[in-house]
Formats: sequence, structure tokens, C-alpha cells
Amino acid sequence: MADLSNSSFIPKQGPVKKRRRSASRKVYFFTMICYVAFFATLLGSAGVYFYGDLVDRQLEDEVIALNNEISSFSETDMQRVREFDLRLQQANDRLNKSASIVSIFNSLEAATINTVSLNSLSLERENDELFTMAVNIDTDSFDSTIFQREVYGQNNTVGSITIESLQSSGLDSSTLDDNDEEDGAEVSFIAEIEIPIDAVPYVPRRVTEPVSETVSAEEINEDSVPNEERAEEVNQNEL
Amino acid sequence: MIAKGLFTQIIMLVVSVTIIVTFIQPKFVEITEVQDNIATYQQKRSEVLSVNSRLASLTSSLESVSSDDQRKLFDYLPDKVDSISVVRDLYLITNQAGLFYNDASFSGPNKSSANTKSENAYGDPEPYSFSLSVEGTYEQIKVLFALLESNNYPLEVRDLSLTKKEGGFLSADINLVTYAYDTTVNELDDRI
Repeated sequence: MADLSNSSFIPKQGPVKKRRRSASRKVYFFTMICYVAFFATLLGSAGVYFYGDLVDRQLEDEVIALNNEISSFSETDMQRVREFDLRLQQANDRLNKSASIVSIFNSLEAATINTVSLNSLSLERENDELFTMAVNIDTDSFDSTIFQREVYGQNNTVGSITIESLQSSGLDSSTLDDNDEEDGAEVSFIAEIEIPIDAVPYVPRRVTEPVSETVSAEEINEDSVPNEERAEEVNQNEL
Repeated sequence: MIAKGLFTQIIMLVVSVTIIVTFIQPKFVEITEVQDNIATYQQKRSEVLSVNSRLASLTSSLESVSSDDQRKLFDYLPDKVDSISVVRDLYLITNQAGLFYNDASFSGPNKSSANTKSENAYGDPEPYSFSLSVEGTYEQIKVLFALLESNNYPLEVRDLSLTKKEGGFLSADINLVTYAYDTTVNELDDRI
């Protein structure tokens, strides 16, 4: 029997083996960029959102911590400390500027010669810087006046000395010739003395011991009265 | 005609750019500001912390000062000068020195000193003037000054006039100044 399948005028498709096409997908650079950018943006958005949230919480924590720190500050303690400090500073300032009138008198005694007599004394404290003194002095001669001026000038506590209002009475030529002044001879002048406050500071007597409530006059006398020799000299020159 | 895939990619890109511009970039700015604020708050907190610890240390130092010393300080520089007490003390000191007491009086606040501007950063205490008139010997007057100097509050001699009297006695007119703590300086903010 003849094969009819080949005699047909209609072409017949033979069993064709279908070639499986290999999937050759093309990955475009632009596509990759788009995907990467899109997903990176989404991830970045999420990251930024959560990081922002974290930072906000940190800020809140810091605010709370600062408020706690501020609330623990005691205004009363601050006021107490400031007031004490100011009072202490002001007291210290006055202590540093304290001066001793007794020291001035002691210096004056040490620098006053035997032949002069002090009639009156005025003293003024000027702006915590110096004392200005005007001492009305009587003496027996011009030589004594000059000598007294020199002695005052050489004194360590005296800043400056000026002799003013020099007046003389009872002097005659015989006085000058014989160097033997008359009893009534008198030269008077005013010594203007400046004493810096630093030169006569008040020094407490007993620094380490507590200050007693009352100090007796005898105690003060013991400290302030000079030695016997000086006392004799002083008595002669006393006001 | 644009292919569907390409259109999607362009949309993705546009969305990405929009998200960056409208969300990420402002959020970055916001985060930077918040971080700056955090740094500022941290700095301020450390400052407050140091002030608190300094205050605690000063309070501790203040409390370590004995009540006796504190009383002495308050005696030396009281809040207010009691003029009657000062006059009484001048009388007692004069008697203690053995001088003849003539008069003592309160002259009022020392306005000339009070009006001058203080050079001291802590301010100057308020001065109060008193006058004292006594008579006695030179040694007694020296004792008087020694007692005034060793008083438990300042009695500074501002003016002194010594004149000779009969019988070897001296007359002394003394202008004294004592001080009270100036509370007005405490109102200033920038002292400490």
C-alpha cells in the first residue's frame, strides 16, 4: 500500500522539533538606575523618618534633663551664698583700709624733738588714701623749726611735710648772737603733714586667738605705751 | 509611543525625586536643627550642672563657717547701724579709757561717701557718721583710739581735732564712721 501521506497536495507539517528560545532579557542601565533610586529613596525615607524620631526623643530627653537640673538649683542657697560673699568682701575691704591713729601718734612722738610743743592738732582722712594733719607747733628758735621739719621729713610714716604760717615773737639780735634764747622767745608754725594710710595700717594684736568681747584699758595701755625712755621723751614733748 | 516599562521607570524616578525633595531633604534639615538644639541643651545642662556643683561647694563652705565667726562678721558689718547702740558703745569706750565724756551723737548717713561711685566690684558698705567729744590726758586719748581700733565693728576716725586745755588736759572732737552692709549691691545680677 502506498504511503498516502506524501501524496497529498496539501503540505503537511512534519514533526518539527521546536527550538526552545533561550530567554535573553536585556537589563538596561536606565532601568537599573530607576529601580535602585526608587528603592533607595523608599529605604532612605524610612531611615530618615525613624532617625528623626530618635533624634526628637533625644531632644525631649535633653529638655527633661535640663529642666531637672534647673529645678534642682536652689535660689535660696544662691542668695545666701551671694549675700555672705558680698558681706565678706565688703568687710575685708574695710579691714584692708583700716588705719591706726595710735600708730600715727607713736610716729609723731618718735619724730617730735624736745624743744617743740604741740598746741593743737587736726587730722582728716581723705578717701581711704591718706591722712592730712595740721599740727600747730610752738618752739624756741628757727633752728628748732628747721630741725623739726627735717626730723618729720625723715620719718618713715610721713609722706610729706610742709611748714606754713611761720610766726615769731620775742626774738631780738642778742638771741641770735649768743645762741641763748630768751624765755619769752617763741616761734610758732603749722606743720602740714601727709601720712599715707598704707604707712599706718591697723594690725590686730592677737591674730590667732579669738577676739575677746571687751578689751580692758590696762591691756591696751600695756601695748600702746612706749618704753620708759621713750615715755620720758614723750612726756616732755606731750601736747 | 512610550513603552509601558519605560513609562513606569520614569514614574519611579519622578516619585523618587519628589520624595527626596519634599521629605528627605527637609527632614535632614530638621534633624540637623534638632541635633544643634540637642548640643545646645547639653551645653546648657553642663553649665547648669557646674553652677549647681559650684553652689553646692560654696554652700558647704558657708556652712563650715562657725556660727561664732558668722556672728562676728554680722557684728562687723550689720544690715543696719543702730545709732543708739553705737552712741552707747562710744560712751562705754570713753569711760573705759578714763576720759571725760562730753557728747556723742549720730550725724547721719555719710552722704558724701555714699554718693561717690564705688571702684570696688562688690560695692562699698554704707557709711554712718558719729561725732564724739571727750576730754582727758594724751595717754587716755591714745587708749581711746586703741579701744576704737580694736572694737568689734569699725569705728574709723575721719576727722580729729585735738586742742590743749588748762591743766595739761586735751579736748578731742572726733568724727567717726561705721558701716552697714550695702544690700543694694545684692540686686545686681552680674556680680558672681
